Amino acid sequence: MIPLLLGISILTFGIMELAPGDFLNTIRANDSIPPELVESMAKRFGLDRPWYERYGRWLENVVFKADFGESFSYRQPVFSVIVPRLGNTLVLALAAAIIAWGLAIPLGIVSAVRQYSWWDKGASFIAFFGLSIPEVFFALLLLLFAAKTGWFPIGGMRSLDYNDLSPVGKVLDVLHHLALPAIVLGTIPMASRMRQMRANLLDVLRLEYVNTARAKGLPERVVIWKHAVRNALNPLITLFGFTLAALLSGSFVVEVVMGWPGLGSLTLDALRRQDLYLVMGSVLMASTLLVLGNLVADVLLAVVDPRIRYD
Amino acid sequence: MSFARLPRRASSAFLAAIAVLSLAGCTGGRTDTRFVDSNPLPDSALHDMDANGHHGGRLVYATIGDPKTFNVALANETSSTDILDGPVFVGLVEYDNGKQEIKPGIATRWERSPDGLTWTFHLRQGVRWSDGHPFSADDVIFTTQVMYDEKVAAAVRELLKVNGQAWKWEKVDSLTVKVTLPAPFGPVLEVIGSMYLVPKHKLEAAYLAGKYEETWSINTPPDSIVCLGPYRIVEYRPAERCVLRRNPHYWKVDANGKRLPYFDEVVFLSVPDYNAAYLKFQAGESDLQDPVRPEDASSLADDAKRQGFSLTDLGSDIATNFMWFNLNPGKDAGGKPFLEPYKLKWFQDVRFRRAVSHSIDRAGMIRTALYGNGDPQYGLITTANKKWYNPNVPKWEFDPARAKALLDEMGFKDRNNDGVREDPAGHKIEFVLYTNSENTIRKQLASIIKDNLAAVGISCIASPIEFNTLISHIRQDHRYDAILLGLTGGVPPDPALSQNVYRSSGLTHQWWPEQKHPATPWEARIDKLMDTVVQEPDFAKRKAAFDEVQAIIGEQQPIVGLAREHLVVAIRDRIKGTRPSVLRLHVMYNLEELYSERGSGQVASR
Repeated sequence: MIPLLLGISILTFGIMELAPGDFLNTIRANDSIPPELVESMAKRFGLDRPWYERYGRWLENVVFKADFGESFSYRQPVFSVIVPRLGNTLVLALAAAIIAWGLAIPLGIVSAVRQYSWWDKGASFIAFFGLSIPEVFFALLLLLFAAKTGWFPIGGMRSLDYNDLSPVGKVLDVLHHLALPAIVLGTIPMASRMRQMRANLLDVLRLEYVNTARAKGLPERVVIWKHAVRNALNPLITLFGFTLAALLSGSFVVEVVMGWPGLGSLTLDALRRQDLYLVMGSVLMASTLLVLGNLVADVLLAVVDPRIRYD
Repeated sequence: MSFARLPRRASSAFLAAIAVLSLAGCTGGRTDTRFVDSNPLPDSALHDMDANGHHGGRLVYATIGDPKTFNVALANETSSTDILDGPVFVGLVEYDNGKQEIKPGIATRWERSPDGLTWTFHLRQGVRWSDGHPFSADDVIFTTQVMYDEKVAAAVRELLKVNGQAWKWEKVDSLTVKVTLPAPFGPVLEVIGSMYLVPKHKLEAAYLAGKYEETWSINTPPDSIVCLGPYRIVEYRPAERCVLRRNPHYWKVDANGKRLPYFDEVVFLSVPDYNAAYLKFQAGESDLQDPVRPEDASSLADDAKRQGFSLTDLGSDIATNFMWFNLNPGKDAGGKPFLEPYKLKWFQDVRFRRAVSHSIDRAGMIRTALYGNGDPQYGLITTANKKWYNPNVPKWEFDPARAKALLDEMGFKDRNNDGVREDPAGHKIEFVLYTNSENTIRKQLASIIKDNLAAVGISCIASPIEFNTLISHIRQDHRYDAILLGLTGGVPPDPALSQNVYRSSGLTHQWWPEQKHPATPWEARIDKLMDTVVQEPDFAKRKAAFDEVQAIIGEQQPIVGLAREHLVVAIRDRIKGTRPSVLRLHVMYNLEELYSERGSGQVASR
């Protein structure tokens, strides 16, 4: 995990360096800001030093002092800028995960049990719709829907009157804002998990022990829920960790389009301004979460499937 | 059909949830509190005769991006300065964007010595900071101390100097400040107006500890940010909004003697891009759309009456679009010239630059790229700059025949019948025109130029590249043929404050920055005229000098003006007291005078 993050940090730093210009270019282009000031800022930010020296110093501070540097534009330690945004991203990812899993499993079960019924066809339609629609387009479509109907706010996370609301009102208000971004983000994983659930359950239902269970005279409900679904779920559980990781990376697009104040919009903004250490901080943060997500997946795999053991 | 049942039930539950939410939104809103002025008015409150409204309500403005800092000295990009410069912090004097003139503010009056070197400012009596602490000349002196400090990256610092020498600031008594300049300087008041005052009682400790740059960041609790402007910051949520509430100690009163400002709250909603702001305005979630893109103006006009807002055309924008050729004869470290010498020879010939200017169909640009709403532009200064615009500059109107004649005269002829001319040495007349890819209008202008130039036998390759790369080409490696870009122009738009564009030694002297000696007689002349513009205290003389600068630039065409769209803003009808101006912040610069029509209720109830 450590070598991976180190690699990611070198890669990010390198790409940022290869991009032409630096953070001060926009300020240089502003003719009302005197060049003396720009030079003194370059010195202060260390932008006048070669890249390997800056990277070395940055790494040193990270490793020995847990200091991830200062954002150029906010003039604040990067983590004080990132942390509030990260919380918002996690809220969005969690909501999307709940939508994805909460819908995928029951729908997958229903369409497997009633294969080729209208239920199955309807669910399959939703799944194919979800799999084929690009996130950006879906997000724009829902924004347009919100603008035309007025049922949902257009972007943002809280309404203007948020501070005057009761605690319950506050939660409802955030949920109201959360609904559309979470739907967009949750649709793709929902669709694919649903198809997987359906396929797994169909496979299991054809196995002999299910026949045995039926032959024993168990009610169909018990056969399905107790014997078939449990086994069909196993491979899906391992996917849970990956879904979290995928949701985090997917949230970047959704946040930017739908104005959700998360890590994605912050990172994009920082990238545009070439706010070097802020980009490094957010990329590392996101990668750490991705790596952790994969770790969770591996652990779950081991827990669920006794055949897999890590030594 | 069982399939249909589920969605229907789900959707009705869904609608119920929405109903609950919107109900919560209605009842949970702030009840209409009558404004009670609990603080005594200052002894000499400023009577603003333009203000004649009533208190209450909220103004919502959706704008791209977030403030990056609340430390006004450090703020240098619009998402921070739009909030801090004016609405929250003020200078000694104020600038009226609408009238484009300086007016009294914290300083009630000022005197200038006959030689223009000594200025005495008399401060308003009884003014208090937003926390109730009395304001005095000590705060002014403290502010100047901070601004001149090398350890603080204050954007205004170099402006508060003449020839690199700081001005001398002295406290005469608690309400009088004397400024002594080392040499004559024209825009003294303009510069002083953009030095935003900060409270000594709040910031001195941090300053003395060498921590000034770390104070008043976005993580500072807003309550502790103390200011003199009409509003103070009360809430900041990154990427969501910044909320300002009335400064209870503001020192201006309206025509009826009531304390300003009128709105209880002003909200800057942070949106990711123009489209989101536009959607919010259309949905009634914001009160202003500033600016309205040319392509949206007509569709927005259709909705205006029904949705209760109006579009205002403020005329030609003060920002400019122009192109220029690289005239820099320098070489890089490896001895390679920035530009092929034969190309430099074309570009250096004024006939070539005029021929290009003659070939450009500015009316066509306005028709297509600007959706019919724009003005041709021939220089760096547009009509928007009321005080400084010179209408009598040479205009190289659209005239392909004349362009062709000029090129023939230079010996540029199409020798191989490929439709493109060659110079006498046989080089194809071809150059690359860069522009920044983020700007759709500029990309269109570039492709129109390409077509226009093809018609006279010049091959122009329009190439949009990323803004940062473009700046690197201009500033660092100087490797380019021609560039299409613009200047936004600051507020106040005094040319002395952008002298770096005009002076041959300037860093932003685009076509050849940082010249050791002026390369041409006309650039030497401009340098000399700019001395007058910067140093002369008398406006008429400054204006005459700058008129000549504009005429020389028109004559020599080092920059070729293109076309500029009109600035259009949309304002909801319930917002009164607006006097929109082409200068930023177009609608909100007189924020303390704006108010909400009575009986029209809360802003955008949803």
